[in-house]
Amino acid sequence: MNNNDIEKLLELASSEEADRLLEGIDAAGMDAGETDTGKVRKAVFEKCGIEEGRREAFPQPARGRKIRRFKWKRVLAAAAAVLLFAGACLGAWALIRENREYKTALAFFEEHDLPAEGLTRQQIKDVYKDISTNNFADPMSEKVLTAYANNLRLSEDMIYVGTNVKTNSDYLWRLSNNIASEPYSVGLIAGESLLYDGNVHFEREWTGLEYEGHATGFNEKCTFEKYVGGELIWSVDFPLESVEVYAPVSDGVLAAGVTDIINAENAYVQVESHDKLDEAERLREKFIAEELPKYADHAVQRRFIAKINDKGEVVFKKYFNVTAPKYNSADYYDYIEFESILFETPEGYALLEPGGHNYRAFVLTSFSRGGDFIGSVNPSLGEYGNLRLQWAAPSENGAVALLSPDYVTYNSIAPDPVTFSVVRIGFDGSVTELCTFTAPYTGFKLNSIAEQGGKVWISGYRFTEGNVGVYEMQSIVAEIWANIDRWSSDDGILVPSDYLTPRVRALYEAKLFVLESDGAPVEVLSVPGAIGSFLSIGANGELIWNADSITSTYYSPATSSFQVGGTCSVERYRFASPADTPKAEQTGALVQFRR
Amino acid sequence: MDDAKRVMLIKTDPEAGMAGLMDDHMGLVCSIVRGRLGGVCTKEDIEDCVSEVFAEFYRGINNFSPEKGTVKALLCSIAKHRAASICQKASRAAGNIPLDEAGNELPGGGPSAEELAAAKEKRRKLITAVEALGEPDRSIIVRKYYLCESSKSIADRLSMTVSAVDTRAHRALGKLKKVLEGINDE
Repeated sequence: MNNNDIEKLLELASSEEADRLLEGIDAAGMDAGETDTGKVRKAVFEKCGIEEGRREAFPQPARGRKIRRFKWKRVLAAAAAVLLFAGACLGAWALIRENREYKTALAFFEEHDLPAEGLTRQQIKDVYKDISTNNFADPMSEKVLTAYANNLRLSEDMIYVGTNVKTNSDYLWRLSNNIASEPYSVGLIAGESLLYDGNVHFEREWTGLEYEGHATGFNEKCTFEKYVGGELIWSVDFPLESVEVYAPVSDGVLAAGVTDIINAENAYVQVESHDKLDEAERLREKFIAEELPKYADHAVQRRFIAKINDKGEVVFKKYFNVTAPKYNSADYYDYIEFESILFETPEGYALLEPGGHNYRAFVLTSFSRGGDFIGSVNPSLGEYGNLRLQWAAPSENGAVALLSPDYVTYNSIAPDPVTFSVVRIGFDGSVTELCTFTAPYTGFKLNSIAEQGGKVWISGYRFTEGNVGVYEMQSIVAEIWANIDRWSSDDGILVPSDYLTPRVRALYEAKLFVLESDGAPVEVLSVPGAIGSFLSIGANGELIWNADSITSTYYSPATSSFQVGGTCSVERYRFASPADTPKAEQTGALVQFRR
Repeated sequence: MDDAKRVMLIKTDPEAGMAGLMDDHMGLVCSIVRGRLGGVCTKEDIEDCVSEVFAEFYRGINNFSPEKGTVKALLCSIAKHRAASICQKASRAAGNIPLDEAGNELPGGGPSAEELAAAKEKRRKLITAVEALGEPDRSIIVRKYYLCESSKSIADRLSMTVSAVDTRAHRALGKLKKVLEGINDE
């Protein structure tokens, strides 16, 4: 699917569809460009058989000709008849138009299961217009959407909306339709709602490199964007490069990544179907012959670190050649949760990443304030047994990290509660064990760690029916299929959210732990029906915990990557110390739930 | 002038009515036709196509029904179809049958009823997704990919920078692609 496909789809739009597309678009005054409009106009008149200048050719009354007396009565009667006829036509036209608008609005209500009971025709049209234009300013829209949300049996605290949304209606509309919030719509899923303090959020998007209108296996650029409260603040392009990791620092944001490798081995050109593979091969060879020489600098991968200030200006971008040894890509996703972190050091900045010795080691690379490479260490973690560096977070004296046993992988089922080693990694790469931490449940998924107030905090979720992993939806799906006749319809298998959501929520409990000095986990907060997400440190040094509360779900039997999808609302909790009992702040952000 | 009055005027005074219609919509039709035929056809061919669009509208004026859409929408629809048809003919004349149409030349190679229905459904979802984009992204997408306006022209109209238009268009396209890929995935 590329831009041309979208253009082609729109090309075939009927006039009714065109009408929908052009709603509110002021096309008057568009530039005719080089077109000779006079010539076109003449041609149109010729083709239509319209005699140009006909009116001017009408005979004018000759001077001195006797003007006959005007027959006012006849003229007035004719005018009245014309007015009556025009009025009737306009009245009929208005009725037709009103009926068309009402039908469209009603179809919209039906399509989205919005309750229309008790609303007048005008109110239905007004609400349709208000929602479909994303205006969300009509109080009636909020009433309709609240009634709809109530029908989904969402609890009051889920429907409660914070201040970081356009309007309550906007939030409810997104909630009811599984639409993730604008700034969080790309790549963010439950458990990964990384919202820095003040709702600062970053996004990365990749644009594919096209060749003769076909997608290639390469990226043209990576666009890195900063949002505050949902508003795009700046956008920086990294042509032929990918931002792999980023972290806000005191005066901007750091980004580290790699240059893209563009070579013959990885080159391919995508075609529409298998019967055009010969064409694909021809295009590939042409691409290699004609285009590859332009990318000679990209035959070998390099790494970079960059800093972008608050205005979106690139303060520095420096390249370096340290490479953390990686597992092969087939194993990569099975074994590694944590990729790398960037943080400030007394000298400048550091990049900590797992790598080497089958991940039983890490690489710590140091940079100056100006981004120049200072040095790199690659110590082994061998003395701590078969442990991998799986999670890490910046702390005052370097980084705090969790080392996990070899067998702990995202998709694996650990037979017993897992014991992790908690270590501090100094700015010089030294490793000091702080304690060991044993997960209190077999079904525990760890999502984030942080150090605040001299304590190590751990966020994750408890899966209440066994172990976390790819089988989390097994019991739900089994239940659906046990009653499949109930859900089957002409439109496929439709399981309503009010049935499904409470069942899915019952499987999850977001958990926040703080570790005692001996590593004993103390549960600080538990949020039923939610997934414990990222931890971060706020501007006042407080710990910020995001819990992604499952708010609506749907069964998706035909998708390969997930069986149950939905939406989570991001709730935020702030802790100055573990003794605090904060209330949930509704951020207004919605992230995807997919399992 | 609203559509009802415009149509009535064309019927009662074709010269004035059509002149007004062309004054209001010439830029729109030119933009669409040029967007499709630019680089494929000559300037004269483009002008001929534009005049054909207005002539076709005039010939079918008695069939115009406000229930089926506005004058503007009908002109857009005619312009799109006309330009696509001319583009196809031009490609064939040059011996280049577009890849996606090559199969249609073979007996029975045209799209089946199911394929047409699937394409229609896909378009319906796309248009719904475009409507759900919100402003200014919706306007940017419609102007750029339906009305074939340049980023600069869109930027001028929406009081934005060209790069902001391109960035927003890119992000909005990403969302639309996701919707459509969702259809494919399903």
